[in-house]
Amino acid sequence: MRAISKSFGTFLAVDNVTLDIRPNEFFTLLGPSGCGKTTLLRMIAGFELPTEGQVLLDDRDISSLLPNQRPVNTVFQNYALFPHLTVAENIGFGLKMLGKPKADIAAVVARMLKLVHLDGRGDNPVTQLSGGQQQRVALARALAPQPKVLLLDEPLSALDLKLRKSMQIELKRLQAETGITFVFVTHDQEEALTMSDRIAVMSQGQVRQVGSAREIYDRPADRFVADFIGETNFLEGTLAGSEGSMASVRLKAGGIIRAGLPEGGAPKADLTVVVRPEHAELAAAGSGTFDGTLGEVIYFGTDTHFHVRLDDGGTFIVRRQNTRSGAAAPETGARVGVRLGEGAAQILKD
Amino acid sequence: MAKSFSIKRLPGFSTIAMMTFFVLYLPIATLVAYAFNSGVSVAMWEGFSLRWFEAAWNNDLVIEASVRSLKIASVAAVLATICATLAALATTRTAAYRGMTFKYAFINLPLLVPEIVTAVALLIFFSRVKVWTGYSGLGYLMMSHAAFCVPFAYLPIRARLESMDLSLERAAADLYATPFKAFRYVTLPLLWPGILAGLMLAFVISLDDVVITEFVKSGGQDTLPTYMLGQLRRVVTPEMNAISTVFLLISLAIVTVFFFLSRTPEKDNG
Amino acid sequence: MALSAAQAGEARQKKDIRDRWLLSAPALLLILVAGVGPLLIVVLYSFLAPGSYGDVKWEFSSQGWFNVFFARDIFDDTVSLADAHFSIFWRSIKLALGTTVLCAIFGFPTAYFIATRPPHNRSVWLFLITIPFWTNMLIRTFAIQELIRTEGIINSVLLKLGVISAPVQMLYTDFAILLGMTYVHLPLMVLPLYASLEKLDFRLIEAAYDLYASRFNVLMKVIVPLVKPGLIAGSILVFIPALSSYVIPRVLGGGKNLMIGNLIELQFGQGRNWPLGAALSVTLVIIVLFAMLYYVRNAGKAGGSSHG
Ligand SMILES: Nc1ncnc2c1ncn2[C@@H]1O[C@H](COP(=O)(O)OP(=O)(O)OP(=O)(O)O)[C@@H](O)[C@H]1O
Ligand SMILES: [Mg+2]
Repeated sequence: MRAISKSFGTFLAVDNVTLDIRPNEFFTLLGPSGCGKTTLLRMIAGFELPTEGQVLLDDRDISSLLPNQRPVNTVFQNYALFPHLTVAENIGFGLKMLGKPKADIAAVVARMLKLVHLDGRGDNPVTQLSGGQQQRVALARALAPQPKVLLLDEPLSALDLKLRKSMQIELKRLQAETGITFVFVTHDQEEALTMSDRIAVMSQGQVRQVGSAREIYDRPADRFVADFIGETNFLEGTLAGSEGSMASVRLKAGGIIRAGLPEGGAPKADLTVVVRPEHAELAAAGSGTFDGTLGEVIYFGTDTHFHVRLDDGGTFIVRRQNTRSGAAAPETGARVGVRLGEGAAQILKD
Repeated sequence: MAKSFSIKRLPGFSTIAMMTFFVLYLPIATLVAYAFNSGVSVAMWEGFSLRWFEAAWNNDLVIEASVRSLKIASVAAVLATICATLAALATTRTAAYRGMTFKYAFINLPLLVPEIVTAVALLIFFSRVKVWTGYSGLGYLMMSHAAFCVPFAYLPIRARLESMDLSLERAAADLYATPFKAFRYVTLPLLWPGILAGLMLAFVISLDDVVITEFVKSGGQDTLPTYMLGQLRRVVTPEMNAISTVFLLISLAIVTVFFFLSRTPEKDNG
Repeated sequence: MALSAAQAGEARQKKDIRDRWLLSAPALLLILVAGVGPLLIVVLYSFLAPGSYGDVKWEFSSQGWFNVFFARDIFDDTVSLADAHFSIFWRSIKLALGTTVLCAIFGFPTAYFIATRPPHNRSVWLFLITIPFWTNMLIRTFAIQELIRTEGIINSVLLKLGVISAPVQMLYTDFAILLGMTYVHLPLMVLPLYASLEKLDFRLIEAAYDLYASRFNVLMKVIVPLVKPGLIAGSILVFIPALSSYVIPRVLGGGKNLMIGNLIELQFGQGRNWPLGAALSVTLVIIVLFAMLYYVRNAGKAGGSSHG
């Protein structure tokens, strides 16, 4: 996908996006509501034509082809199953439209039914299936013609939590078994992080960062990504020196830390550093990277959050896994230190 | 429950409503009852008999007019439904475009113009055309019936289309269906109940028409309603009641089917 | 590299709109040719001179329109207002208004009754209202005719009960026309009224009672204003066809009690003054248009106020 843009009237829904989606990968578009994920997906499927730019598939320009001319299939958010057809007829629809012989279609449909665990339900009307089953029919229907790319627009959002978890695993399995490229849209960051090979984080029509779940989580490129994904502490500081991919940063809150440099951007003198709450630990006052006063302590079951009031007025959250022994926690109001592990801090681009 | 009912109750309303229903059906019931009268009066009951149904059945004029009515209504309803279906496809499920409101208004215009005026206009127009072409067959009646049936057929078809999920056709296109195939295999089967409902509505409306037919018909082209209108000027025997009863039954059957057809979309969604 | 996607998109959009015109062409053409197009000819005819045996002479004449409003005495050529036409127009309007009022009086309680039934019963009651609507209008008129004729059932029953000593002449009177038109058009009033009553929030009525409103006050100050859009729609749906009735006055008015529709027909029959008939038709259309305009205005207002 190259320099693609889409505007509705004067509104720019997708702004100059260039993405390279690799064969056989599970690629996720992640972003808040209204950021243009669906629009981007619809341009790949062909329901929407880009105002500018091109959609390339295996180096072939498909940007102006009709949806039925693209070897790309979609799993719709509302499933869009044909209510007047049976499960089997739904799954076989694509192949029938391609003019495949009846016997071949029947064979593929049988294989698909097995793949999505709906053996024996082929003759049921789709209207009599549960939400999860309909979801799987929609998947099978889109997979049956063996598309090059499968597009999934928030396919799990209509399912309840438990079903969603099991479908996540199912989807992952299907992708591995079929070897088809999945482009998956979600605004659920956890879903994105657990399922994807790579994630593109979008905001206001632009792609903010592309990378594996680890890269995005541990080394967010900018404030938006850091903020959108997981909980983050932002620390202001100034550049004190750099070597290779690491730099030393003098924090406003006191202390000097080593932090990762962002890709391809020499940081300005005034910069922001992010630290995930679970990458920091409490220490005795004076023995950590910087000190603060302990504020609220919030118990979450699996872990506990410690809110540390910094001397520059900010708040830093430390997350500690709860263990059986339950190490003694300092009292609210006590002076504490915060120690950052090696590689815990990352400098933002802006 | 009881409390909310007393809040909704307005004194006398239920009485008037029941009276309205009674008055609505009394004339029809009487009409049907006297179709079975063995006497010649439409007011004095003299015993049960089917003689008037027999009389109507043996009346060539009645049978001819009925057949003509059915012919005209069939052709007009099919023609109107085809036109209405295409027009409904052209005027729904898209961003408003130039001329769409115009089309919508124009299609519904026949509902707005007083029937007597349309009838007069068609009389004038077709009397010219008849002279030019020399053709004076049933075509004029079929055409004019089709024209005023279009808005009636359009109504349920449009309603059905608008309640149909656009993503189904997208899904079809996504699954390699050409626009024509998507229409053939997805849109049409789903639209079918709406089309049938439109067809029936158009059929009933055409079957019932008196005014336009009265003005457009050439000599010897009486339909059942215009034949009846002509007969009403004379002394009426229960034969008219018998004809009316059969006519009512046919309309009732069609309307009942229509009623159930136009309920299906709710069931689909629910 | 043939077309850019943007160009392809534009071309596709153009084609879509062209297809949409092609698709609607048959319907538009049919209605133009065999529906409303010939109305233009009527307008044209109203400005032509009458032919000797019906039809028209192809020369401009304002006689048609002149005759709508004025009558020329055949003996002394004096011009006077066309009283006959005015009285028929006035009668028609009076009868149509009367029909509308009667339909509202009977239709409102009926619609209210249906709207307050339990939801699953409503469609049955609605069906009962719509059945007569879809059955032949002529037959329903005929049914009324049988009921009220001099030797008809109503007279027989009243005579037997001793309420009257001689049959009452009901058929071929304005009363008969009024009765017939109310009977035939009632569903057209009930349906839109029901549509707005169904949406009525009965908590409002509860609130009104809570504020010590009497039943009458609740009806007039709360319910009626809330269903005003439905009432206006129903009134228009009844008034327009009632005003242009042709069959009902012909069957129940017996050829003596004319309405506009019959007056128009006369000009194309015995009177054979086609331009006058055409001018009368145009006049009827204009009255209907004004009624519509009034409706659109008020419906707009009512809609606006219900939002506020
Ligand atoms: N057909 C359209 N016309 C005008 N604006 C549109 C159209 N489709 C989408 N938009 C706008 O484009 C923006 C992006 O929409 P899009 O549906 O791609 O968002 P999304 O990321 O999928 O959001 P969500 O998570 O809510 O599905 C939105 O602000 C939307 O209002
Ligand atoms: Mg979306």
